[in-house]
Amino acid sequence: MKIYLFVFLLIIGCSKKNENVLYVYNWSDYIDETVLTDFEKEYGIKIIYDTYSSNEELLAKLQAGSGGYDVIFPSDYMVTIMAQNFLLEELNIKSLTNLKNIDSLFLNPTYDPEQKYSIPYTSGLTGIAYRTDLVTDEIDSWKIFWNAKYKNKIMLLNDMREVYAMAFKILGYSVNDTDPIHLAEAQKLLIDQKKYLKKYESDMSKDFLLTKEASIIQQWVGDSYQIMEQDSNIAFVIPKEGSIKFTDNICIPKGAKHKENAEKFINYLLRPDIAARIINVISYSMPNLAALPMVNDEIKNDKNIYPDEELIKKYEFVLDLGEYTSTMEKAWTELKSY
Amino acid sequence: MDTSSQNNLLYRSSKYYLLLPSYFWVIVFFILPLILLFTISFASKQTYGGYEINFHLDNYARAIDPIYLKIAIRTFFYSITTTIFCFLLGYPIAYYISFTDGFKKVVLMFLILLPFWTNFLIRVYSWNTILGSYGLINSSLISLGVIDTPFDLLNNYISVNIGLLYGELPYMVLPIVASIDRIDRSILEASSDLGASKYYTFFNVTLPLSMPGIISGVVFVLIPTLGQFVIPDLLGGNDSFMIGNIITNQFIVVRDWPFGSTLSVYMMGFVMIPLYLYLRYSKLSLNSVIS
Amino acid sequence: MSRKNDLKFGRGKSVTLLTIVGFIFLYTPIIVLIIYSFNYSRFSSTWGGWSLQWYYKLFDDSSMWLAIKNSLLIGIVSTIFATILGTMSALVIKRFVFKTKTLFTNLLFVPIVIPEIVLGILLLLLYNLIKLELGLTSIILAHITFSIPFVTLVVLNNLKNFDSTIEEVGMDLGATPWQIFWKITFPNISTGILAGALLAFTLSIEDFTITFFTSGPGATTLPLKIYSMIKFGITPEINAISTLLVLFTTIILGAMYFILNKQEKKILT
Repeated sequence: MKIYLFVFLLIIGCSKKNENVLYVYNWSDYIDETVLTDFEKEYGIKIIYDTYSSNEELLAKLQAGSGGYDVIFPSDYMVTIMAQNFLLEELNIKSLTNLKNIDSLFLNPTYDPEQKYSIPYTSGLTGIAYRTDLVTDEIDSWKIFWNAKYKNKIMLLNDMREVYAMAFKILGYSVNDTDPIHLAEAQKLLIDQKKYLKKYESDMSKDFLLTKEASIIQQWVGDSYQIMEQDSNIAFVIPKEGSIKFTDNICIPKGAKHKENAEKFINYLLRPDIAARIINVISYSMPNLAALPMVNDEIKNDKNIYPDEELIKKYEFVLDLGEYTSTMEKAWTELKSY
Repeated sequence: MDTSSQNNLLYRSSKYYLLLPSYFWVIVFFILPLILLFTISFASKQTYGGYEINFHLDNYARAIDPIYLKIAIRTFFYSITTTIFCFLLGYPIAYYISFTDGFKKVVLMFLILLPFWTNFLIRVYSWNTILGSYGLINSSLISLGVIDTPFDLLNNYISVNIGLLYGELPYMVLPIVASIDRIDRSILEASSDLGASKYYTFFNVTLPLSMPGIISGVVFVLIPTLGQFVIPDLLGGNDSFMIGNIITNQFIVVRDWPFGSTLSVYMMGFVMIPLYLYLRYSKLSLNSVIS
Repeated sequence: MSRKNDLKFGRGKSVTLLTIVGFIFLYTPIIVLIIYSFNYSRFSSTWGGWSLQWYYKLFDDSSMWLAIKNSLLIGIVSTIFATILGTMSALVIKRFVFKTKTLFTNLLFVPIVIPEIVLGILLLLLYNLIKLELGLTSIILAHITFSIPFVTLVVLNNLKNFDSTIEEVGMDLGATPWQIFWKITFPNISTGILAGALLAFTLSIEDFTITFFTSGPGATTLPLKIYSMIKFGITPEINAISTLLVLFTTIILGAMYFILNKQEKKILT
């Protein structure tokens, strides 16, 4: 009897809620880990860090009842969706003293016009990462993924919007097209592509490129640069048709239990020195003007990471498609099953 | 009433104390969710996920669309193949172990139990190293000059099936060992004393007597394999998704809970109906199959 | 005695060969895994020399320790409850006949014959309905659910050898049911209960599929942590933790063998 009581108390003791903790849910490879440990030291708040690999996965997790996260990083269109579905807390802007470091061009964006729910974190583009030692052709277009020479060495992102955006751009449509006829065309194109596709993979594809299991992958710019650092035979290119540009944002989910800690963390990430450290590790640009002087030159001057007007024109933001999303999701499930 | 009949009464009523908690648990954590599953399978998905309760059969019709049927058939095919190979490889191993004695037997049992108790994911992941384009098999074959370009062994149906076989093998071996262990050796002796060849003895005595173990093994390999999704996820590619992947996708990414529920209902039916019929036909009870 | 294992119906050449093939098949990946845990290079395609760096990295990885702690906590709590409930179920099935007995038995054992993914989804739906937040509690409840049938099975098996007339004797002598359980039943089935508990604990530590659907923030278990390590960046850290787990399992199994052996010897002398 006594033993059970003891064990019971032990369990209660272990599961007591620790006030000085912060649950962060972010994209994988999207931060400098030393930044986290420094935050823990400076503020005495323990960070528990989980990762995901798509916006839909983030949404699914929140909807399924994982209400325990305090900080999340949805992309632009996902902020709109989450706000509409009352999944986000309104931010206490006044407590974010470092917000002044952000380029005003990025404030009050179309997906959060009153800057109520999100703070811009990073910006990026989608392109193609490939091995120069295994690819003999010049790559300048998404069409390379239909090249039989690279059969079974190709991987696309396991992300519905990214894959369809690529198809739409090849066909000359917008990434936010809502015409079912166009979707059918895109579907046909993508089903044809599956002949050459090894796998739809967002997480492990970088490693597969490094271990030469894959030669060409669809990949985001910063992640590509991260592996380019590890292997000089890897290159990144922006296809001429353009594709998706995104701004990932920091948000606090509704009902977060450590809101104050979350705000301290967000403000911390906006510090110029911290932002610069993160940029230098993950190779994504941030709209943090004060951080720019501390960013490595190779990154600052790289047109892929800090693109100019010309390049940005070819790219589009993903918009929420409302009801039409279900139609697309059905097509996506079918595409994966073919 | 004297104490002993009082105690007798208490003892008999202990039936309810012992029964109720488990009954309660099974009802809350199994029956209730099952009803929920059925209900949701008839519901519709809301725009961003979640479901609203209404009643329609669209999901059921959608699930038997050729696209999904293809995956279901593939899943079933993989499961059958895995089970057969598990049996072909596992039965001899079990046979060998059962007829070993003493410390050697202990060592062999330990060697079979160790993978069983080592983390499943790890064992699956290690095939990456072996099957990769520059992994063990290909590197050795290339350096020996046997082939020029590496075999494509990873991220396709080959790696998935190897992974499935690898993960499930111990589940086939263990019940069969237990079953052969229980065969009275004197029966086998009697058989050979009466002049039967070892093949005859095996096929007509040992094999039939080890049937319970074989059935357990088949149940514990076939059914889990049908619901697999991790192995195709980690080792598979485009050509080797199983129905488990589609179902997981519905819940974790696409957020179409109704459709995911429908697929789950189909899967359960596919498993439970034959099992029920089998139990009915052979008049066994479920726990005798499992033990 | 040795006649029993004569080659007459024992292990012929083909059986032995297949057994050897089988063990090579089972152990090659494990051995490869262990060797590459000492690889200096991050990639298994190149060998960079012997190094312990991944073990050091593992030691520093706080999320790994959290996962281990969670796995142990979940394992212990779910084992306790599953063992209690499982033993109770076994006793009821063995001792009594009642109206819904077959129904109860079948219901109890169904969770282990359906694919784990279905059980995981069932529980996810349940938690969503009752608005239970996904975390340690949701995982513990899930683990108890699938462990109860296994414990019941093991204890039932053990109960087969237990002659319940001795319980009746106890009753006649005026013992209360509680006394009967503790002084008579329990000592005789304690090995069964222990085996059941051990099985429940193993199942809980190992489980991936059901935990995958029912876990939440900060409630990562060791299998889930390993999964995310594999998905989000293949490093030999995974090999290192695998090697340690293999070592750990070997020690546990070895210890169990010695304990059981000692018990047997005790009984014999």
